[in-house]
Amino acid sequence: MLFGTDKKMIWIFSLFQRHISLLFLLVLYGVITSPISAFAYTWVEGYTSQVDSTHFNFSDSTYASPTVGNCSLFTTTASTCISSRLYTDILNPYAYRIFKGNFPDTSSSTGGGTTSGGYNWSAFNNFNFTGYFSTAGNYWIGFFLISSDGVGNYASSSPAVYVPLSATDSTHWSTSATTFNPNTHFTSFTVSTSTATVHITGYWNATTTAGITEQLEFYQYSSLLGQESYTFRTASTTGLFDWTFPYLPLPTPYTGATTTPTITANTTFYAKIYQYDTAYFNDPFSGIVDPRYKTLLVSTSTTLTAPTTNLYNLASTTALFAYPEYECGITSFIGCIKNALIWAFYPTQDTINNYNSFLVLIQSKAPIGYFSLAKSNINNLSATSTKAFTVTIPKSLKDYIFHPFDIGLASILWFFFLMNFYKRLKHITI
Amino acid sequence: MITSAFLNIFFSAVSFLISGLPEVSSNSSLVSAVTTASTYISGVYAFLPLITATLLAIIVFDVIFESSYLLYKAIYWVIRRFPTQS
Repeated sequence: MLFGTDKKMIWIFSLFQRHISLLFLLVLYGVITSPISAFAYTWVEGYTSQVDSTHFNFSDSTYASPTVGNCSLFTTTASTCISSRLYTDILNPYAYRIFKGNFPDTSSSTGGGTTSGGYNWSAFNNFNFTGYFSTAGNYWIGFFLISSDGVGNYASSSPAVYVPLSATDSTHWSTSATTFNPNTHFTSFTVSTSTATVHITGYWNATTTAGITEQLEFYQYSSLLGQESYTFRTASTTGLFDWTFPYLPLPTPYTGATTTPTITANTTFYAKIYQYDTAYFNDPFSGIVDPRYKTLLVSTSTTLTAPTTNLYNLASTTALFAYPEYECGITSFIGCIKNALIWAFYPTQDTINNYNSFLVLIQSKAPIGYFSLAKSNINNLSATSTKAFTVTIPKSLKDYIFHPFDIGLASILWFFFLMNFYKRLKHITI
Repeated sequence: MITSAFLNIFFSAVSFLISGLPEVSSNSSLVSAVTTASTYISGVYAFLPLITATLLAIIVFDVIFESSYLLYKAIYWVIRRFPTQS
């Protein structure tokens, strides 16, 4: 094993856990002319931080900066330099796949997700990238991670892991020229009924642009309780987030049989990440809502189905009131008649739902669909959207000439509209 | 019961009849035209808000009213084509 100032060619992988940095090396080598068979190795060493389950960035948060250097080795010491450290400490020499993709594409065919093609690297130390990365640019370098227990048992990671690297030329690399910054997204959303908590993980962005923030909002909704447990978190740094929120559990069934079951309902948990932009705002006086103030980026939800043993699952609060009932008995016979008439003529909730579906169907089919389409597009005509041009008028001119003219002409226009609409109504035939 | 049965039969029958009709889809040119018009209207709205809002309301109301009336006439014309016993 080499120590001291000698550069080590080390390729170490560890299986990923969240928030654990990867120590990670890429080894490149360029052959230099020499009367003896010496090989100069250009290597990249650095720590990485996990961005999502399959992508990492080189980082130097609490560790040494990624460095690039040279390691002059002979073939014998090459194997000692790499394999002894790996063999002894972490990994045995093992053939595995390296993938090259186009950064920042993350599609499965050309980006940080492809598992086709690729190059084989045996024994970790004899792979020459030079011929495969001859064009300067940003690339995805993907690997299968191999771990070994030192006694011949190997485990490989699946899927492959990707790191962005920037090639300045065919033999030189930069680890800091580019980083992978995915869009805000959720990674997992799990409910624990034993602890009555919801665990949410994902990735969010905290931009440096003034006035723009991302905020995670969580709440639960059931037809029994309505919206409960609302809470939010604001992104302060770009990266992974991991939050656990408590929720309000619904009634649990009695352990014994009962003729009066408790009412419960399904609960749906929602997690949404919004982007707020304070350059726009919702006007509290006119009630005009500017959609650019709050933009939904991603959302997820999951439903916890309520048990039905010794419980009555309330599908909707209107279900209880769908059929009004009157007291029916010998002393209140009128109630029986009323109940019978309600049963005969009162439409069920299913019928009302069918009516709503029927309306939607009609509005999507010609010819009524064209009318609905035209109506919705015309309704989108707005006087408060982005201006195509701006006219600057002095305030005095605006107050004493434009404003009175505006009011006067608008009044005249309304008067003429009413007169003409009355004349139009007189000529309508049904 | 009776009302629900009748309504469900009616909805099913009409849905079956119109299910064969083509779907309508939004025309991107129309959406783009409405968006562009909105930007110009917004420019005028800045210094003549009442006139702009009045004209917009009158035009939108007229278009919707007349197209509703035309649609009613068209549907009633179709209904009158069905033969009735007399």
